[in-house]
Amino acid sequence: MTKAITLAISLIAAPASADWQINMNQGVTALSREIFDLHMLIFWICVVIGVAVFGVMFYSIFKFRKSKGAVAEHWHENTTVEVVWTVIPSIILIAMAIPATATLMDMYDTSEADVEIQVTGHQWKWRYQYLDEDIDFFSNLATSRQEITNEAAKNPNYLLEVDNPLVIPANKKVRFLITANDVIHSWWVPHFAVKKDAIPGFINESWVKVEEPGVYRGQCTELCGKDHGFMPIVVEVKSEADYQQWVSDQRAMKLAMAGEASKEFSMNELVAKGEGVYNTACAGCHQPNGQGIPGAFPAITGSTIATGAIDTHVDIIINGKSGTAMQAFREQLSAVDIAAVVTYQRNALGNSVGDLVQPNTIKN
Amino acid sequence: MKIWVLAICSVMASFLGVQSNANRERDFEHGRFSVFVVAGLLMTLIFLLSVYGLVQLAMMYVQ
Repeated sequence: MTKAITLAISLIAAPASADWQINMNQGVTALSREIFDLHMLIFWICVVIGVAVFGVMFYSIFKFRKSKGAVAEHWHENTTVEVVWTVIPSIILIAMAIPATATLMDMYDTSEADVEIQVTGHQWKWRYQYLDEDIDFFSNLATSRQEITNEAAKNPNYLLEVDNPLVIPANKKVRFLITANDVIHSWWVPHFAVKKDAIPGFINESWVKVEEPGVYRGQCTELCGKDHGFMPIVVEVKSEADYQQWVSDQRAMKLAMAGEASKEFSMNELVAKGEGVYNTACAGCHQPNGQGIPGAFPAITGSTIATGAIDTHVDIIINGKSGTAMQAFREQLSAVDIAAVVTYQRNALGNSVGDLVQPNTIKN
Repeated sequence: MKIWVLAICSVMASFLGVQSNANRERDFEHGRFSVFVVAGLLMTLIFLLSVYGLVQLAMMYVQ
């Protein structure tokens, strides 16, 4: 019966949501559709109650208005009426709690997952660690600074695109263990009906089982600082075969990166690579031109660290500086990335120290 | 005995949030404070146990 009602309700709601959607979407998982149906069921119960209560109220106000000679009746109490208007809402609430409890139990059932991924919120990026595979990467905003500053046209996925999307297999139960590294973030992918706070020191759980391969986008939905709007989530759902291919590609890439770390690089190679690293990892605070934001984030141009002893420069990038917004990049950047960005900062952005550091000397 | 039955009825009415003025006056004239405290604690315990029982029932039903 409930299913029939919610189906009918969804059919009424569907055409309206197609072109101008303000309702929540139905999502792409069985659970997200269940949540949507529950939402619509309770929404319509509220509509019926609202129409009935306000209908009676407005009718009474109009019908028994003073100009028609209505006189208020004075009485102290009516226990029967009071019991009725207390018991009926209680029954409605309990009736709504029954399907809601069933849905909540499903949402919290993270058992028997096929893939487990730890999701960690950082200012202002997401880190994904596959617990059963040796895969661990950061997912940074990929929208260009030019689009953000209105110097270039905005693409359709403006602020909803990342360099390394989260990749999960279709038709497998994927469990997320959601936490944060610095402040409270929240991991939200509307099509999965997953919105979970990422809290430092706590692990919240959620899960999805997506039927169709595709790309699904979301955002951080807990105000987490300056670039809160610049840490989107992109999830690529791949077929089982494609997912396995991706996993082996990731392993091969990791091996290749390990090999790269022992290579000797030229100054030009490091500076060229460092520019990309700088724009992804540093420019958010220190600004693309290296001028920083006075009073908030120090400039790289002419800075005593970026033009002083190279070991101190490497150290602050690896370990951060406690008590400031400068975070430790030890886990976020590879040895090659750190060598490149240090060399870039010392020989670009108005600096010309002339020295460089090789990845094999970086011990992070 | 009657005083206990009346106190429990009044506690149940307070859980619902509805009580008639006549009963309120009766309670204040003939009721005993200690009886209401004991009845209140007893009914709270029964309420907690029934919520706990309902949750257990729901968990059994889903699993």
